[in-house]
Amino acid sequence: MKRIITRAERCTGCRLCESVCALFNEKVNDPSRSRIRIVKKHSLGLSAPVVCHQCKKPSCAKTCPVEAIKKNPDGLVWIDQELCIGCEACVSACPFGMMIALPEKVVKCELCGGDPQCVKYCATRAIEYADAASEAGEKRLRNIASLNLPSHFVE
Amino acid sequence: MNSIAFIDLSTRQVVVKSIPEKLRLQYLGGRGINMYLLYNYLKEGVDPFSPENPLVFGAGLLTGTHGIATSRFNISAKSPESGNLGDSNSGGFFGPELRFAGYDHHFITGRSPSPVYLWIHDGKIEFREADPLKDYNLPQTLDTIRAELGDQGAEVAAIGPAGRRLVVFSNVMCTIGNAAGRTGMGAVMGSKNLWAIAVRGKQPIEVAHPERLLEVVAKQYRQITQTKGYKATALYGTLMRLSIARTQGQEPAKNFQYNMLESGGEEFDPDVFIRKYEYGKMSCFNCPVHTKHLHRVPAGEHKGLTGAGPEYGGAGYFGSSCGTGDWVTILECWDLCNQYGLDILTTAGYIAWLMELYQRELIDDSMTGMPLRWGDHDAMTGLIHQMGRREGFGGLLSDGWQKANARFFGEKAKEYERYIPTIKGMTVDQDTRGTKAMAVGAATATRGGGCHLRSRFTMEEMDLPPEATKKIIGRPVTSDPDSYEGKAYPAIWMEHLCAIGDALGICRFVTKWLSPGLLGFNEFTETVNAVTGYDFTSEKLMEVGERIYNLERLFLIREGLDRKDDRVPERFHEPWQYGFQKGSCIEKEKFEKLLDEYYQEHGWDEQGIPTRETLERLDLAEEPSHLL
Repeated sequence: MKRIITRAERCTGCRLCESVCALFNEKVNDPSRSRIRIVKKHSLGLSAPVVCHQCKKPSCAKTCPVEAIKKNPDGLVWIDQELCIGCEACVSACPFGMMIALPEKVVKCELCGGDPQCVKYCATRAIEYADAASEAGEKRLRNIASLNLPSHFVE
Repeated sequence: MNSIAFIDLSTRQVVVKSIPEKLRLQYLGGRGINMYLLYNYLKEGVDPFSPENPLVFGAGLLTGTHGIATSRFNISAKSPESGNLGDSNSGGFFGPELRFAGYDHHFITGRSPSPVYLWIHDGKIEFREADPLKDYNLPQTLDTIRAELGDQGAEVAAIGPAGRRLVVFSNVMCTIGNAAGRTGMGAVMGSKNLWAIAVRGKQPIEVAHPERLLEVVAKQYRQITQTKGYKATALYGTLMRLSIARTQGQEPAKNFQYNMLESGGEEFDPDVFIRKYEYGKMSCFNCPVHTKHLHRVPAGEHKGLTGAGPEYGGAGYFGSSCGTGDWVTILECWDLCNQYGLDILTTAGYIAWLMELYQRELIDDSMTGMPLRWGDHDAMTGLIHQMGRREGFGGLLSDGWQKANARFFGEKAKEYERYIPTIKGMTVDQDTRGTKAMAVGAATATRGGGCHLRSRFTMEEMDLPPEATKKIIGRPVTSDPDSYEGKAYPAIWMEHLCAIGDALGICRFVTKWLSPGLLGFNEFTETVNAVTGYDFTSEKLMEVGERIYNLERLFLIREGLDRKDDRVPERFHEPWQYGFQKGSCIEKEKFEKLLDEYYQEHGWDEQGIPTRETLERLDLAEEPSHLL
């Protein structure tokens, strides 16, 4: 299923993804409210994007005491804010740190209702709305790039 | 938000004032409001190192907002390097975080009795002991402060060993590759015992029309990333200029004695740099152009040396201007400057000057302690260490070239001034002999060095037909860069664009300063109105740019500058020797006529002083007006 896949080696750390996420989803100009996060190694100028994996067996949903976190048939993992009590158990449970604890609620990447905004602003394609498996075929092909015809076929 | 923190380092008193709407409408923010504060609060005759010199950090009106390249902030004060206007601009992430931390400007006066750094987070302002940082270089200072505060998301603007020693051309840096370089703002911080400012916060910046802003920014993102030049800019960054300078015959060689370095070699090429030394690219806040080069020297004596850069200035001025095309030398000089916290352009300019004096045998080994031959790696790095530490021969330059010149040559000092190309007290950052609009823009630039960021009409060398320039800037301009005709207006148009860019906090590299297809006044207007809810037009914005520039002019006049200081370096009256603009130079009489035209267009008198009529039109007649 499609989710936001990341390629850290391409990230330049511009944080436009955080900027548009916060404004689009929270209607405020405050990147600390973004559901996608850029982490940095300042001394080397390197950055990497981190975002919800929309796990097949989401730890967040498993941990939720009020069953507020649900997984749709299309794969999306989302929080029913009507049910959420803000206990932050999911914040501790998520192995990627991608349950976002805001002062008044907990939020997560919900793919902007099917049309994720962040990926539209990534100039280097360090994030992309795609199926991670879509790259698998390409990667497998790389393994035969070095193969040639058997030597006894060559004149 | 929408406020200025007035911080007195002597008493540790903090007063917070709201920014009145009139100031926002007339100056926007960033450089605009910085200049207003400086003009109103700085008294005449103040020593740049005295507690009375106000040091102003200012984020642009759009800095930190959702937008393209809305990253920038200014640091302003009276300059210890030029003796007049101090103003420096930087990208990175400090500007946005400065606003998220709760304020838009920090107005800093006084002097702390002991070294401190400010820790400003969600509105709170703390003074923290900085003395433990005294053995660290600048990048180490940034890391150490973050570690001490326990917050990798904190942004820090700091000085290095050079700033702590009050070297007059010290800079302030906020990442391994972003600097507020020129005019010695690092030295002013050092003189106040203010070694850094750290900021962090979650204060949202208000947006009047969020949906409209999302649309406007989406449009601008497409506009910028779909221009023909985007791929090249995203790959080469400012090093694009290196190839252009070489092919156009504008390569500053051996301290501007020549316009091409014959011995430059094939290596002195941005493609070579990228292939051999670059390991990645780094962006500033909200910028898809990611021009910062991350480099690592892979082998040899300097194996493992890493840093962010170089920019064109470092490559050109440690490169061809110092008589070399060797990347390892350039990278080592660049990284050393960043470790000390020394401005690249001034440091490289001084080294080239010394090498020319040595070439002319006006200084010798007995004075310098070492041979200063063109391109000599040991001489270059040796001098940087000395300048940064105030030691030895290089240490004689730590208080600026004028003092060094006087010390070397006594009575002959004035005569030998022609060997160091300067404008308004600082070494120049471009050779404008073959581009006359750029030349008048540089000669009159309100920041020393003939600053290319105050006004550089880049369209002048793009061979655009007059009908095209008419569409872009409102008047036709000849496509001949050597012609003087009609060159005043384009220089002034660019002044307005640059002033607005800095008042908004938007980087030059996504604007028409770089290329005609990029953002201009129309786009700025759309963004400003979406964020603030105001009703600006392009004309009103241009007027704000004009107001800021005129206020800076008043500042310079108050410091005693006038027409006599609006000139190109003497060397630029000599012709270029190479390339398709061989023979180009600035002819004195024609330049004076162009300067007359420039003053007229500006509404200034023959000495370059704004007339009463102009001041009234721009609502500057009552300055200083002390609105705050």
